[in-house]
Amino acid sequence: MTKSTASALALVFGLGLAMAAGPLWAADPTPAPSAAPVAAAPAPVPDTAKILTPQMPVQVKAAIEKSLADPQQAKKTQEAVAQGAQKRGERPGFLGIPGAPDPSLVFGFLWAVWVGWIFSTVGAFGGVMAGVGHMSVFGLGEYASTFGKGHPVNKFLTDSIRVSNQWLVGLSSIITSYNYHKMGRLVLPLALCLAVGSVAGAYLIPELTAGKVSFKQYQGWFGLCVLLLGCIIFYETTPKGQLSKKKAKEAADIFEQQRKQAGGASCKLETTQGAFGPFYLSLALVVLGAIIGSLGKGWFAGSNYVAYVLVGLGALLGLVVGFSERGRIAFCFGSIEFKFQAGIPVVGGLAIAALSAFLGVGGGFLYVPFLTSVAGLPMFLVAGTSALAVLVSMTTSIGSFMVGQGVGVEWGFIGMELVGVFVGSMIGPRTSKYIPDIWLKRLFVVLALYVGVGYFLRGFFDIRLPGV
Amino acid sequence: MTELGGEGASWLAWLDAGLIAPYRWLHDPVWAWWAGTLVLAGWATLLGGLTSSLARRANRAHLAGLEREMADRNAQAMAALAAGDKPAYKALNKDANEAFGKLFFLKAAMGAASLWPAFLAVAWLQSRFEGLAIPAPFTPWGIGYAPGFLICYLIVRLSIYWLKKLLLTKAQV
Repeated sequence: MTKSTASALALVFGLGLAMAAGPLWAADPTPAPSAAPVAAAPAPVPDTAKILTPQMPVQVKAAIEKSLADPQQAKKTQEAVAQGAQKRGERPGFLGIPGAPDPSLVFGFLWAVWVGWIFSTVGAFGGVMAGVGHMSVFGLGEYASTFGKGHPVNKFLTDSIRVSNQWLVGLSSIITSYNYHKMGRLVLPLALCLAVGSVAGAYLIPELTAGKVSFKQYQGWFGLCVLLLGCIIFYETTPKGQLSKKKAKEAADIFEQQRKQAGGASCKLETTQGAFGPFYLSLALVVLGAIIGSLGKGWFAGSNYVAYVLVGLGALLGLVVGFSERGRIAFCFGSIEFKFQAGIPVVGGLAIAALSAFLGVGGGFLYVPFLTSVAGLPMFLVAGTSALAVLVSMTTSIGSFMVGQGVGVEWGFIGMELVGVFVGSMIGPRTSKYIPDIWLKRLFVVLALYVGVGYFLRGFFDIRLPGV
Repeated sequence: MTELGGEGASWLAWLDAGLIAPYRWLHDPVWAWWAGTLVLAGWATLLGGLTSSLARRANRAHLAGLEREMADRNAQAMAALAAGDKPAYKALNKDANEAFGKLFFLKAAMGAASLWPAFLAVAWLQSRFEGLAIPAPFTPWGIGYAPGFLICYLIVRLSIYWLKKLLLTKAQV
């Protein structure tokens, strides 16, 4: 067995152990079981006043008070809190809810080290692992489900998990966008078009789905996307998928010679065709709508509808102009002219931002492949612009969820996860030389397929696979 | 101000004595809050800067390798395109994509080194000032602890950035 194979197997074993033990990691001071088996006593119904704790953020209090106002939901709230208290004691856990899981900061840190390791070795999939941590490893998803479908606290916890995923993934783009800006590699027309679509998608999804998605639904959709990602990575490990790498290796030698002969000629970026005015207007409408919708709630009656109209109009303008003759953008880079239809990045920005706002993952690695495959643009030019698009869409989405919809997060937990991600980023580069790329991809195919199928079945069909 | 509480806040309680001290420097409670939060933002920025430098130093060689691979593949892709070889261009561009993806996420993970103290600072502020509307100076508005910290954090980071730029310019002259 080679060193690389052994490393890969060790990682799979470690992860399997981690996922199997995951639900045990929450710091739960459960009472010791009695010697003689007795019939399970029904959980005592907690006093309503004890459900609202001083540590509870105001948004969580509001969700619980909303549930207590409805007799059916009030019963569910009391049962879920009582169940949690019976399992974990009455002390406040996640988001100050009595009996809720209290994810151990140490194990949150360790899981985040794993996420950071993935970020720094594989590239993609880190956000997915962060989501798996929030949903399964720390037991938050399971806990959200105990409140039942349609319950305000179930939906609040689901939204909190979504936003926590986005903080971990979206923060990344702040640093990289700044670096690309310094290098002067942001393509303005492309940035405008992406921004129109991504701001619209990142604003509308939280507005339309916050407080409306139960945990099971979210888990099912998350699983489906992870499954698709697993299939894409699987294709890349097949002989057909590896063909492109072979071609690239052969072509690299040929064109490396040509590049050296051409010398280090500086390449200038210059736009030669395209109308920007409509896109500036489109972006202004979308941004104004998002600001009014998120920050301006209560400024005036009907501010929500004004926001929807502005965002809708801005996106529509971007699409109409984008697919018209005026939407043909051309720019020169060095001696090569590139052309693209502006409507394509508008649609792409909309779809990708909507997906990443809904799931909390997927924005980082989708923009560049989309632009290079669909619009045929070189990676060098789209990379910086895509990083900016991720920053814009994540900021809009997080703002829309937290400011517009009042969703809360556990700041300390995210902070500890960031420490773990940073530590993982230091370990990753040191281990990557021992593990070939193809083995990393195979490892993640296995994980993606298992997690994807598990979440899909659990979310939509209530069939449980071990560990997820 | 609310009392600290909960098992998860035990580490916050340990730091509380040091973190609350700047909030008691001024007599006026509003100015005291803003002054204390500016100091807190300063500590978060300093600590983030230290760990970020550590991350950059530790990964310098690996980052340089990935950047070189990405730049090489991209340049080769452009040469292929200039030569009219579209299949080669697509294959090389895809390789450049992969290198970019690894670089992007490595930098993302390293970026966490700069930002983690800010989140822990907000967690402490949540334990102390949850539910309070802090008056924004010279305005009739009250804002929460998180937006207040964000404002102070941006002020501190931008100030340090401009100060560094000024000192570097003077050093070059």
